[in-house]
Amino acid sequence: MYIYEKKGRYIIDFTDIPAERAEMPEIPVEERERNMKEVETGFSEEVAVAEAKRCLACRRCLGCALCWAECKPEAINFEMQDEDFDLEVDEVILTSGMQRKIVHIRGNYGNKHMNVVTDLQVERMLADTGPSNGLIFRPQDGEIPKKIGFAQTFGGVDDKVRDAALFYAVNEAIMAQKKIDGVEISFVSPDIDAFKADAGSDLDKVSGVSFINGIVAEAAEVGENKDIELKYEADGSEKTETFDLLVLLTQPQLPPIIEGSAKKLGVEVNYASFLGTPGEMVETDKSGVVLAQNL
Amino acid sequence: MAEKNVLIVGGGVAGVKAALAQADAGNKVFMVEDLPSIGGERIPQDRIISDGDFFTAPDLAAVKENNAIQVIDSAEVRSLVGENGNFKVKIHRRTPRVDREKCDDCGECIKVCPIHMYDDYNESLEWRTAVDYFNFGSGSYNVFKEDMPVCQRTCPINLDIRTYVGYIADGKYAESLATIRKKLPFPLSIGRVCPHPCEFECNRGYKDEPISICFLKRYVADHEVYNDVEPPITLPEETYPEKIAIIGGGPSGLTCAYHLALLGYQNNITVFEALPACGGMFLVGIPEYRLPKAILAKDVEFVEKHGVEIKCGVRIGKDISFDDIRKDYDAVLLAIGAHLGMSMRVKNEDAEGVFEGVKFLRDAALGNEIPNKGTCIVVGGGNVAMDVARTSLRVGFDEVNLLYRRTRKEMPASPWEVDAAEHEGIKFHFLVAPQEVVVKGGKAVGMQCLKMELGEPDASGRRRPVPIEGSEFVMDADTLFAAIGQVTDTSVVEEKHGFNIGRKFNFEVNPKTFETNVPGVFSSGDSATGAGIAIAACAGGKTAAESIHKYLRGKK
Amino acid sequence: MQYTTDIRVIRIMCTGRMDPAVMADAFVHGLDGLLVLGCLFGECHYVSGNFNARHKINMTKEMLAYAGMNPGRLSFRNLSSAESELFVKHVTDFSAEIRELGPLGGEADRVPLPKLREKLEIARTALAGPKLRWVVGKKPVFIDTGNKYQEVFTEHEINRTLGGIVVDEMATHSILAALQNKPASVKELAKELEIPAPETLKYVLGLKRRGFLEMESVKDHTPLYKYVEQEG
Repeated sequence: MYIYEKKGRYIIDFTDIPAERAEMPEIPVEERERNMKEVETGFSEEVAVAEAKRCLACRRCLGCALCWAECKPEAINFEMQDEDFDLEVDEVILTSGMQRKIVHIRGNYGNKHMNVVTDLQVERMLADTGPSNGLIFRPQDGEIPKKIGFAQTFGGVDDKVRDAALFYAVNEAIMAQKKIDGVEISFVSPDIDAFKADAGSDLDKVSGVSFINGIVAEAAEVGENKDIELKYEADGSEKTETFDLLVLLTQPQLPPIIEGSAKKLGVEVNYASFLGTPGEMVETDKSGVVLAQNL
Repeated sequence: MAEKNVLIVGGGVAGVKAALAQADAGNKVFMVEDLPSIGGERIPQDRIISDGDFFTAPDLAAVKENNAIQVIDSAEVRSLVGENGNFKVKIHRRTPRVDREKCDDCGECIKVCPIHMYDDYNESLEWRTAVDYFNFGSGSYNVFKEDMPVCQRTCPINLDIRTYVGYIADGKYAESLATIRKKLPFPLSIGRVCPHPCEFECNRGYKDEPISICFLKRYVADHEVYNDVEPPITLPEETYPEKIAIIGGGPSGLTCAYHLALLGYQNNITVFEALPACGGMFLVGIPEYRLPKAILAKDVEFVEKHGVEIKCGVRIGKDISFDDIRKDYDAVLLAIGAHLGMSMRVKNEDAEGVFEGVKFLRDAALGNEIPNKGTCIVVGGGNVAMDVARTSLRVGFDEVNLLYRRTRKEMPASPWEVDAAEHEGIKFHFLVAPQEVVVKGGKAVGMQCLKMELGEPDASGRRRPVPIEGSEFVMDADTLFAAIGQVTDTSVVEEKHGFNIGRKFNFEVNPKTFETNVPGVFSSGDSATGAGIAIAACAGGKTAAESIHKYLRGKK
Repeated sequence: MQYTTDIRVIRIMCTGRMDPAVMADAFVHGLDGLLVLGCLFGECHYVSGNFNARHKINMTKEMLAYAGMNPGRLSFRNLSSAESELFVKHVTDFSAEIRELGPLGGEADRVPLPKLREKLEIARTALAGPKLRWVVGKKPVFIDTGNKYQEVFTEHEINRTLGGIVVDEMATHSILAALQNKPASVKELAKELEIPAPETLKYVLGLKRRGFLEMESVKDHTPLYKYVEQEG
């Protein structure tokens, strides 16, 4: 999920990478005894300039206006400024928005491995308007995976929110199973038994996905193809399985715009407040403020 | 029923459906979304899908055609108040820089744009260019421009790092220093002591190692000193007559004074400093071996030369009353720092031979009498504890033992400080908690400690230390230092002045303006925020200067 | 005036008109060295022609070096029209330097022939495109008065920017050239072009987004991409 970590941080492979960072010179320990002499002595000019040249000078839009020069309908306008405006409304409808949180497990959960992705990324892959014509692919090499693992790493959330996350990911597993011939899918979650009870008979009809009630321990990158080796605990013993692609479940949460708006209105909401009967409008304690339930 | 105005917050599938329903009912709809476009198709999360039911897609075309629905994307809700039938909303919209009425979605711009970046809409699976659509098919083109690069955004005072580092690469040192001084008057000092949060965010860190930003700042600042260049002073021609008192000549107070001078209050700013010299924690918190006094004096002198009067050795509440200050000045800044050590809450803490770490550092810096014989124990794991330990060894203690109740990994001190302390011979004792000061003849002779082990992780993921039963032991020492945190001594003001004092014994302020609850009195730095890093105190001082300016000009 | 017979003099009106793609073209055709001789800085008849030339030539050097050629094969030097002795010195020196480097695609170059020629062709295509030309043309403005947002660039920053575009353009045009021959998978492209596979995938998806490529077919779990003919 290296790519996810770097969201918005695309870094070009410049030819001077890697280059060592300049170390600050110091006086030896013996010279520090029983005195207050400054320990660090500062860079020389040569070192300072070389270090400064390592700077990648990160910038997104250059403001070069090449797009503006090429735009025939003259739609691009660099003079446009941010706007502030006031509205007067009679009623406010809040929705749940579209934000999710990634929960790493114990700090070392494969968050740098190329072939670990999130369920959000898989959703974009599956969409026809997404980057890959609706195909699931491995970020390492663009190949279509033959063995996919789904893993839930978060816990301790509201049952309704947990079920929403599991419905979402299970649906992805079902779609993957339909789209990729002969794909093998394992779905590891500590809450799968509880979810089965909530999801009802529809889940029993799902074929080609093996559901495992298990606790995810760690993931490692293995081999030249950078496949993902997942360790988890199930049925009282530790198991290891290797996947072409591992999908991490994310935890739904409210984006700041929704949370902030609710707070300003004095309405208490959390993600679960939006998980009632799909499409219904639910009144809140504050008259004139309603919650549009998720679809 | 009359037509209603409806605000919908969130442009996802549910938001779009609600918008269309409201419009059908004859209402006018405003839909606000923080992303640059309303949402695309989503996988259902309320049921198991069956064939043909894979995605729930919002009808974006219907929204586009419907004149009763106004979509406001890239938006923030700044204010939202009122009652049913009468809500007042303030919206801020970031500009897309593309006139979407004119844009015909031809895609020529994205073919020529030379900048690649990760596409947020597709969760960084592919690239977009700086000018591009956000959500395919929505026609939501925008020119994406960050306000600042990640290093600058991370810096509390938002130093333009990219530019000053770039000038160093170009060999233009004076320009580089001038860039820093637009915001920060302490390049010599900050260049030595800053724990540089910017470097942890540096994009180059993802490829090899981050740029050494802090030391580059030191380099350009030193370059001026070593070449005997007189720092250029530029003050505005338009000046204002109001007088401002700044209580506390530390990083925050002096930065505020500097920016007030740049705003036009030169020769009307007085800094009152209780200690014999200015610099605050730069002077009495950071030891000489990290920041020499002579170097610090250069930074202070630079501020002073901007028409800032500095009165040292004047303690408010003792040498001059706070009421007199209020009477003589139009605005006051309280930037008195956090110079009181926190209590360890162990038995016999007040015994002879037990000292506050911050007081020890202050006395050492000012040349006052300090304990310096035998062995000592330092309790704490922060940067102050490292400073106390490393100073102890230098002033004459034979052995310095440092106790910390968690492991090295959890220490809040900067790792390079910990390494340096160890390198110099400080003995670290991890997973050890102090229990009681051992006293003999009224004098401390050691510390009774308890060994700890790491238990289960708490909500923050940090593993909590739990005591091991029966593991008590005594560590001998002639002197004990507590370095477990500092708080503000708010006794410069009295109860009658009516200041709200916060949980950390700080002055409660509006976090955006640094204004206290008393009109015309501001507070910044550690005395407003609790003990923090120097550059954050400087940032607070700069903001306070801007607020004071606004306050004084608003009064006219 | 006497000087080496190794060289051929081509007269141009102003070094500012020296086109980056033409310089690359010279090396595609097997030239071993190219020396651009211009007026002294400050003595340009068109005020800033030779400054622009320096920016363009530096950028071209970076591009050709990235393609695998020894950048010493391209050089920009200055003299006034009255300095015939200096002319002889520059020409003699440069000729000696090129002799030292040996023929193009030899040991002095990072990439050997015929691979070097292919890479130089890609570089030429990239240099003929709008991106590098436009941005290098903006360099003096960016340093002096700033970009569209009035942000002034340091020289280092604009050099980094150009360097980044060089890397991107080489990868992009290599992929396009390879796919013009025949459809290929990301894995195959990565191997052939020696670009890391994850980066290749990103370039391919980016090009697809911009309408230069499309997915041709999927063969046994491997998607193949093909080039889309461009209008105009």
